[in-house]
Amino acid sequence: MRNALILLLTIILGLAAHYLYNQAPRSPAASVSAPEIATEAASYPIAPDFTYAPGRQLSDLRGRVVLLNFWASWCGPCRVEFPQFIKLAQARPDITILALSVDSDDAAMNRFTASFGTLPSNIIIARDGERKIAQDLYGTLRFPETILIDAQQRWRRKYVGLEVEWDSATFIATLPQ
Amino acid sequence: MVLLPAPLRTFINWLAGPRLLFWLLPALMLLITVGTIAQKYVGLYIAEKTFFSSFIFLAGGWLPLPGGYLLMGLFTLSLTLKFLLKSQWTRARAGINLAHMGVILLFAGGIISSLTAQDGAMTIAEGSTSAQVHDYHQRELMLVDGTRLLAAVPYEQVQAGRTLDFAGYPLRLHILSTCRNCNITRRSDSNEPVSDDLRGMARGMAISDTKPNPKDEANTTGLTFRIDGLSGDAQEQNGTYILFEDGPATKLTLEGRTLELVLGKQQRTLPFQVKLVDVVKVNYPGTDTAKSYHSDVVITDGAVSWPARIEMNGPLRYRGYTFYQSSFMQAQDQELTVLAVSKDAGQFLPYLGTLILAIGLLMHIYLRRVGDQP
Amino acid sequence: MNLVARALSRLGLTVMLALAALPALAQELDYAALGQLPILEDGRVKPLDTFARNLRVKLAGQAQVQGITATHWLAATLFDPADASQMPTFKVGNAHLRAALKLPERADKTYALSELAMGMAATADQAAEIIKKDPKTLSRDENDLIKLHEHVLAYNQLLQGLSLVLPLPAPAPSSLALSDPTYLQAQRFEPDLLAQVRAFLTPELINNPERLTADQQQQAAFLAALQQLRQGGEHNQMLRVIPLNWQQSADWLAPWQVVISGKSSPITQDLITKWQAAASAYRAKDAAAWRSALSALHTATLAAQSDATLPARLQLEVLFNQLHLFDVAALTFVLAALLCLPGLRQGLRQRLPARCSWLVMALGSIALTAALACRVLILQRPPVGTLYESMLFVGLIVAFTALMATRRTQLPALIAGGALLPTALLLLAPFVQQDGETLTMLSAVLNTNFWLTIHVLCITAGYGACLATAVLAYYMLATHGTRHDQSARLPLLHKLSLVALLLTAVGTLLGGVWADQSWGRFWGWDPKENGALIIVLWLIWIHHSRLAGQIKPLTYMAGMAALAIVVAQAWFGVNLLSTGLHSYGFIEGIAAALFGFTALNLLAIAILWVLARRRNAPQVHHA
Repeated sequence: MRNALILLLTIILGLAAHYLYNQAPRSPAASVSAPEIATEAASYPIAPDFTYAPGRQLSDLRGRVVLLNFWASWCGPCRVEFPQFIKLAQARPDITILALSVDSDDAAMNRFTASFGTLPSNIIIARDGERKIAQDLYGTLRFPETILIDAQQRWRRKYVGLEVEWDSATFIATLPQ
Repeated sequence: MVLLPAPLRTFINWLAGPRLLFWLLPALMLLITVGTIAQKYVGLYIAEKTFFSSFIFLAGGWLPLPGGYLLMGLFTLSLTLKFLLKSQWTRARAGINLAHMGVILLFAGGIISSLTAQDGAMTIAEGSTSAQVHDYHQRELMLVDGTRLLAAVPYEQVQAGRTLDFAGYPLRLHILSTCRNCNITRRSDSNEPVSDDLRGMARGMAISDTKPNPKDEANTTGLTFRIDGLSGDAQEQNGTYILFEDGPATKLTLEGRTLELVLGKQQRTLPFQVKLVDVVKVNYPGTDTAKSYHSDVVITDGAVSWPARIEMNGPLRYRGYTFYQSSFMQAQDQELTVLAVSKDAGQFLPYLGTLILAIGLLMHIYLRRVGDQP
Repeated sequence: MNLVARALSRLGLTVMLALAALPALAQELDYAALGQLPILEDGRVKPLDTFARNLRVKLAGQAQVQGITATHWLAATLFDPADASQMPTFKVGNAHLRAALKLPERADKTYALSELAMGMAATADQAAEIIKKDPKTLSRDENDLIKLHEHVLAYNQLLQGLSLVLPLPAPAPSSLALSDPTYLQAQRFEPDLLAQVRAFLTPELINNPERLTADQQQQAAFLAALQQLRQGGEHNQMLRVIPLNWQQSADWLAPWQVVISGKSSPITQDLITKWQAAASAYRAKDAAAWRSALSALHTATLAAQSDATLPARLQLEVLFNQLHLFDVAALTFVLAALLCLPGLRQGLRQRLPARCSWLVMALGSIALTAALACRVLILQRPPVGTLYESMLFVGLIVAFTALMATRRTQLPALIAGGALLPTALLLLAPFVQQDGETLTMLSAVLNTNFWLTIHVLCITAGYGACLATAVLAYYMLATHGTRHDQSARLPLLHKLSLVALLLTAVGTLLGGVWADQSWGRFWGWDPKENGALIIVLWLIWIHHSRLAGQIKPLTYMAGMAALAIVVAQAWFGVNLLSTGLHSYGFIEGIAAALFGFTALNLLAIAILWVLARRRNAPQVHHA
């Protein structure tokens, strides 16, 4: 008799515990799991500084968002994206597009840029014929590659090839201020 | 006990005694061994149904031997009777009694689970909401109107030679043949002429029975059936059809409505909605091996909505249902999560039983050490 | 056909590299420093030391061949491929295969890539045919041929791992004014060079190459070398030594992958430059430059990744590789067993060697514990997650139990049994590991530290306790009725078997709880679950039968000794079925070993039981 009571009591207690556990109202706070928090801005590394023209350095452009673009006149996709850069530059006069060409001579480079007419003032063209910046410093071997550098000269993101349409509304919206 | 007649008392004493256990345990061990080896050949589902979830099974097709339910039922009965009638709560025996009680609770939980548990799975695409759980094994023949389920017949009742009537609809099905695992072939491969009687898919394809897959969920069930008795405009829909699991539904137009016959796994509806916000599979870097999976969902129950995360080894429990992260699918440019859904009233008993058993055995070892008797 | 094409292109390149061989100088470099560098393989960042050892064992059967250590061999492979292709690398154990490849007979049956090159090219077609067949139908010779081809392919990939920072095999045209350029340095001139070559290479000249001037030939050859090198780098993913932390990724890429995929950054460029410095130092055999280059590379690579525990774990793993703690433990156990032989008959107190045997065994247990602790720290998870690890842990439990039981009973025989069983497990464990790499990551469903600790440790401790019980039972069975009869120890056997029951039963049930938490059912009649349940039922059966007086003490001891068979079947036998959730360790040949073990034990128990009965019998007949 006593054993029967013990057994029954245990089962009832267990049932009660189970019921209470299951029916406990779920408050949103208790069961929410925060989505992955984006990496803190502080952890973005600083893009290495370089001189792209006599007396002109990347660090001079601090305070502005910079799109560092490596291109060449013999690169097909570069032809496609250049007009997009022009439209982007016109839409966002507060950013700078620093387009470094790895052509071995000025003539080829100038021929390329001239074919697009007058460029907006926030597009800077410079030549890095020996690829000291493009390859030795930034490791770029294939073209085009574009690096998004924010106003604090931090490396934010790299775009390989024609990953985005530079003049599209979606891209412009992702650019930091 | 003293009120019972003597033969019954002897019988109960024998049930509660050690002699039965002496023969029960080796029988159980043998059964488990046989059932385990059988899994290699017929798969877990069939092996479980034959050996473990049965009272009797026929060895070699003719020799009746006790099955899992019988042996485990006897074991539980024997132990419970012993516990109720014979266990004394002395200091030396306290641990043993607790251990025995733990085992009883374990088996009680097992019995309740096997009788009431409902297992199934839910597949949800990212951004979609679902409240449908499909069973792993149970198939049924369903009559649907768009998304409304009008009638469902369990597959076991769909047998060759039977006639199925659907109340409220002038629909009568004569089952010609069924297959547990169908082999689908093109009619053009065989040299038989295409009979006028064949409708829909049956004109191009035929199904025949083939060897069942050890993984029962992977079997493609199917049936061949005839419809007759339709009159008027619907008359031309009389004929022979085929239908198989995950295949195209058989469309019929009756009284201006389009109805469909579908063969698939049994669907159950949850009393709430689950929306998949995001499913993530994290791989070990540089490999394709999964490191972890998780699904971020939003549960909507009436007016209340709240988010939850379901991950491997971290299920979600709500209103008696438990959701487990089962696997991850990728289809074209969509990601889907597969959640295992289980509803089990007896779920807590094994936990309780384990706890009490552990405490009991520990107590017994400790108390023995203190007393140090053999 | 893909296999053939790849093989031929690889071999072609290797032959080219071989032609550009520099003589190797005899000065000694500190190769261990190379072993400290991290590499990602199979989802885990490990030291190059482990990578080199495992690969060497896979290709040559042992880590050190003809005095050349694994890291020395790796350094040659990466930095001086022409030299490495002359080093003995591949073990060809199959005599038919050696004959087919026309290899000279040698004692260690280990051959260099250059010796295999011709044979590989000749059998490439054959290999391509064999690959199409069903793997289960292949003969041993066919299997070995395929394996050798796979090994050669893998090695070729490694040989080209750093080809982008090594001197090119073709001389640079004078117009470029480069001395001994690497691919990275030279490829920036490729567009211009391509334009020049296109200018003079008419179809007529292509068909008559002897009409080209020396300069033109040089230009064309150089261009071809660049393109061929790039082709070789296309799928080169073995040497994953460049971390991608700048790109917010946990992935590590091979240098070729970095330059081809566009995932480069200033950091990756810096690291690749440092690899080039190491390569130059190696080729010049400059010990000082080598040391500083490797040190710089080590610091820079670890700074470029975000796992703060990695530096310490890498060092620990290199130390772990060098200490061979498992071998130390096994040897110590054998020594302990030998030492207790003199005291076998008289007990621990009588003989000094016997007393020392306990200490020696304790030392071995400490070594084994240290080894498992190292694994825990390196992998950052509980010690048991694979079949291999379960064998090590069970060995430890048996050793500990034997130590404690010997203290209690002063019976040196327990040390003998308790030492030899872990030794056997330690020796057999490597055979259950398929690849040679024992520090592996676990699949998603096992990736939970909580349950790995609670359930897996409990059940493996249970297996260990069961085996210890069996050892004691065997001893009692063997001495029953003799001068050293241990029947008085029955309470100890009883207690031990209860502990085994507790651990195994609770461990099994915790497995059910884990299964309930993980995939929705407490018990699924999975083979491993069933096996554990049978162990529990066996213990209960023997135990209760004794309590109820249904079996005699002798039969009780025999039943407990048979526990060893039950445990072996549950532990290894389930893998033979190769079905169910637990078949993560399918091994060939285990069926025979298991059968042998079972038969041997049954025979031993039967014989001992009969002998013991005979010894008792005269007493029964005394009127």
